[in-house]
Amino acid sequence: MTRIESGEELRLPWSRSDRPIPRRVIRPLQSFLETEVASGLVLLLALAIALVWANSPLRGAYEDLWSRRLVLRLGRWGVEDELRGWIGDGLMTLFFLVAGLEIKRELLTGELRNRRAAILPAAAALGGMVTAALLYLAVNPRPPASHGWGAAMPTDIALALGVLSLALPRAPASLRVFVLSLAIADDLGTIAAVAIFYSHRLDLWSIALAVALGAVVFAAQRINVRSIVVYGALGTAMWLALHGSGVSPTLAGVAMGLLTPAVPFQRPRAVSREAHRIADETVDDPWPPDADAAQWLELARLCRSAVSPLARLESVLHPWTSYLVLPLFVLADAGVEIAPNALTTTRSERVVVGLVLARAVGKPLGIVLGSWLAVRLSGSRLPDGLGWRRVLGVGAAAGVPFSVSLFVAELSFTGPLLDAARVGVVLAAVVTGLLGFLLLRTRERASS
Amino acid sequence: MRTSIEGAPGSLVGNEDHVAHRPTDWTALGEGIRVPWSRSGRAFPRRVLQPLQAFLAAESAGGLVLLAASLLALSWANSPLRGSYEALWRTKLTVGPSPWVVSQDLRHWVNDGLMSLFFLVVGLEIKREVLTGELRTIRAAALPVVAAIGGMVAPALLYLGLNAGGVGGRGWGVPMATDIAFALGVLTLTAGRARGGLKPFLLTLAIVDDIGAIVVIAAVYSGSVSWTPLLVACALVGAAVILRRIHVRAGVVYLALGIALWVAVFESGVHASVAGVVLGLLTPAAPFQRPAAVSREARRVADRTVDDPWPPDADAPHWLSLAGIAREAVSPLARLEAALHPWTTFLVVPLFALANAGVRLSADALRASATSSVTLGIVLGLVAGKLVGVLGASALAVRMGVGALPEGVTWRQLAGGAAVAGIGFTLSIFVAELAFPSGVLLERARLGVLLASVVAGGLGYAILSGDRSAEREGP
Repeated sequence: MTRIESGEELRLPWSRSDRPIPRRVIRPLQSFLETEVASGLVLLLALAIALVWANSPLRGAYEDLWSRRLVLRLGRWGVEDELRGWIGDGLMTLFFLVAGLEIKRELLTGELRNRRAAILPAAAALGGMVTAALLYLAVNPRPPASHGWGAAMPTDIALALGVLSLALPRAPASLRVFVLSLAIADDLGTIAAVAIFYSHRLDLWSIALAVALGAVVFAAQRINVRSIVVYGALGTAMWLALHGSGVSPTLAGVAMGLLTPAVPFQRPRAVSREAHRIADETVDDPWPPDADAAQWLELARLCRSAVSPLARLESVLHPWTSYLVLPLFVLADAGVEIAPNALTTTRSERVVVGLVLARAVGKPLGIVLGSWLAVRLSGSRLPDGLGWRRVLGVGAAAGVPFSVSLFVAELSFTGPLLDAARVGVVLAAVVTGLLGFLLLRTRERASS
Repeated sequence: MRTSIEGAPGSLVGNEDHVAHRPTDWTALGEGIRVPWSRSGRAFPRRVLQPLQAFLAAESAGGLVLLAASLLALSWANSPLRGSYEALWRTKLTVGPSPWVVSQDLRHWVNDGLMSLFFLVVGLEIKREVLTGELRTIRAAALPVVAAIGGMVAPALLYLGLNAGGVGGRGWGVPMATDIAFALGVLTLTAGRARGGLKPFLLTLAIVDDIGAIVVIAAVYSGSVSWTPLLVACALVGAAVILRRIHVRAGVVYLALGIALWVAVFESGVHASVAGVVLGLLTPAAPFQRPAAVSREARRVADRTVDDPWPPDADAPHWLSLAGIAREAVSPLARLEAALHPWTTFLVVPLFALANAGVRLSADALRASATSSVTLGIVLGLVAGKLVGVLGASALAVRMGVGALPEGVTWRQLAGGAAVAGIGFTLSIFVAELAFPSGVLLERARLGVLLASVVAGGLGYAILSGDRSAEREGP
């Protein structure tokens, strides 16, 4: 150790310093963003902006911006789409990548690890999805309006958790976990539905290519290939293979997420030993200044490989998907013109009614029904602090449709029906959000 | 296992001395550390990857890859498949939102886009050299600086002597440049004979040469300058300096600034490579954290974490924060260099050669070039001008007591180094592309650079390997 008197303390970056902007703005902002409510509120903000913008005199600019074409073309070969499409197919892949990571983590180490414990949320999710879809189909039995049943199904994790923590700031952990696993089971179902029902004109060669690329990723992991460049390239190739295959290319994100290893490559103990060694072998004032660079960079690499790729990827991507990708998607997609002439035809009216009914009635009832069946038939127990009234409230909160519903609506409809579906999603979000909030807010009757 | 690095700076490509470039030395790691596939005993890594990596880690690798790319370009452009060569590099790559699409052919993407990364590394190397290398003290820097200036002025004058007032007059910057990857490659081929003092001399000379080339590119070969984007570029540089000052460290911020700067410089008419150099020069050369503080943190994390946490990633925040802090014990300059150097050496520069060195060598073209003052000026400038300029300026400097020959370097070896510096190759072609819009003159210039580089390399090799006077020095 060359110097004791100075430089023993780690220096703080600007965002952690005591300057006015970090102290008054950045740090409060950061601690707000770390809360559960934050991502839900950011989504609501994006929704409000989109609605106001699309119904203001500036609505021309709204359509103009999001339907601007973005081109990536090499010679004769390339990808070209509207900005809205790039967000829906491109950026949303990152969101689905994170969803894949979360599902894998829950299955391996989380609530869904114990298959018995997983029955209750899985049954609740299934009940919610099936009832909502059936109710929608009951109102809209005939195509093309019937195609929208998928938009009636999905749960929005961020919004469901947002409603929950707004209504019950000190909700017991078991309740949160229940909502989370319900939402994740719901995600699985939606992804399956998108893959199976919302793919058209399947190009089997492209899909086979994507599957083969997935197999390459798997094999590469088995033989310990670790270069992120390799996996980035393979993932991009998979996305390109699916793009235009008829299947939503966002599935490449889910696949890559599920393929990401959940165990660290190095044993933490071995890395600890190396950390001690490197701390001993480096000096405080090397000459030339970066003489120890290789050692420090090695330590950084080793530390990262003491963390599973899954956790690393999640921690890197999660803030971006919650605060950039999803809000952008909502901003680009939720801007519906709420004008009387949007609902001229009975067909569009029925789409709206179907969506609101499915979300506000079908989803809560289905979730209660699914949970009740699980309790009755498999002997699961409701988690502590969760009575049937709260299950109903959770069901309503899970009924708040959003980004994923809009996403499926984009896949199901075009033209006036799409506009109607968007209106339906927005209306249903308002209704179910309030309903969930009120139901969760009311006191559980002390009994059971 | 401290590794000392000699004061040798790296330039352009090919110098692997800088310690941060080295790949992980897996044998030095303790037990319990798993090796990735590329280091495993499996057949493919053992027979192919590991020998390849060992080759790439060698000093001459950059030059050899570049040579291979150039030969490939030459033979491709003169083969029956030559149609596909032009077709490939003329293929348009289009990017952007609809009214503002950028549509350029692949060659321009390589020359204006990827080469900016290369110039970013050049900027980093110049900065390191000035702060910690040979250029740190006037005394040590005097001789290579004077020699480099001589080696730039003489070729330019020779060229202008043949072309002043003519159509080729714009091309005087072409013979000024030195391609250090090739120069170093030739130096390495002459084995241990002349490496002791000559290599740092040549590297420093090449860096000064780069500075000259960048100044010439910015001042002479930029289009008509429009001031608004240039002011924006200056404001962006100012913003980067301020952000650095107040300790903003997020890489994303600087990446965004860098891209904006590139666009602004590109729009201003100044050549975009200048943006890369400026960014390199702005990169901090001191680590943000004291190594002692990081060591302490490393011990703390090592002691606090457990081997089998539950849930499995319970310690992830500790490990990731230590990883971030350990990186901050290294200066951003060294980190960026370590990250970019392999890419520029083995991808960007070879791609540039592949896209630009495909000169048609038909009998007609050769005959026409033999009488072209552009070709002659470049050949004369690079072969004779460099040799005379570097040697003459050095002799003058030593005679006047401004500098001294590096220890163990004879005048003959210096002459060899001067000849080798005449390999202008990639950098000369780069300048030629700026000086002459495509057409006959560009073809003549490219052919001249090609010929001159071969002759200068051969001459240098002959001088250096014919030298029996020097002791055989170990590395």
